[in-house]
Amino acid sequence: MGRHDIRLRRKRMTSRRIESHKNYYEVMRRHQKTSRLKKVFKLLILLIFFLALIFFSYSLLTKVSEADQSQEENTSYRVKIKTEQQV
Amino acid sequence: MTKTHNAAYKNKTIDLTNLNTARHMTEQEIDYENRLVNEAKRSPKAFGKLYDRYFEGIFNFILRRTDDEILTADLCSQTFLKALQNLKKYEYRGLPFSAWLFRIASNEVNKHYNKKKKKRVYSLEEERVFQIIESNDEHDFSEAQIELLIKTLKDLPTDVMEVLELRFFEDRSFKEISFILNIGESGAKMRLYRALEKLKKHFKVNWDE
Repeated sequence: MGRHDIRLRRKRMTSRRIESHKNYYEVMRRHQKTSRLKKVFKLLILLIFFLALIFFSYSLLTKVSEADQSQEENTSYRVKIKTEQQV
Repeated sequence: MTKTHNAAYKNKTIDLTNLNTARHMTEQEIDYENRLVNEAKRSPKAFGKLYDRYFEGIFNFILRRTDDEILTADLCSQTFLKALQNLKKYEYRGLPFSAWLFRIASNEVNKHYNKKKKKRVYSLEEERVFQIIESNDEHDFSEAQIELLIKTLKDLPTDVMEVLELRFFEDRSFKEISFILNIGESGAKMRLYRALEKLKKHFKVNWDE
């Protein structure tokens, strides 16, 4: 069995017939559709990125504030013990 | 094939000398083409000029590799769509813009065959084949001789056939062929010589680089 088929075509296709397959409007339509989809996809990725950024910064802030709070509580507790000891 | 048959076929000459020179673009043509490409990069609507200019060539190239008019129209449309989508990445590297389009078209055809897992087809224009094989002979090739030629071409590896087709049916230079098929220039030459060696077994081939 050959690796490919060889066929002989009687005539070269005429320019007019090839012209009938031309459809630049369709190519442009598909291009606009795909570029619109690409834009939506990029926007979605950007949105997800910003949401993730907001979420992480929020959780980081809450962690920091929690840590501050517990530190404050610790220092106030230590001050309380010290004053009690002094008394 | 008997020895006498082979000897009879050897009388026939495949003349490739008239196809020695690759299609050449003048500097003015290249400048004009670059201007069109730059226009199209700025506005996709200007791509229409390039589409009109190369549609027929790309269509014929794909048709020769598929032998299916509807499929060719689809792949052709896909080729121009891909070109339009990636036009901003295109850079002039001393080769005509059409070489870039042929490369995309060749990839689209390969993708189609890989997806469908079908046997590849080369549909060659009879008149072009006769242009190559009849030029030095008074008499036409007999059907048996044409069959032998087809069989010889059929037995060539597909990658060799690709180079042969681009060189003699598309008049592409080795530099362009190597770019279109993404192979080295010496590799392209080697493949063509392999094809000519096979043809020389059955026919007298007139071809000097």
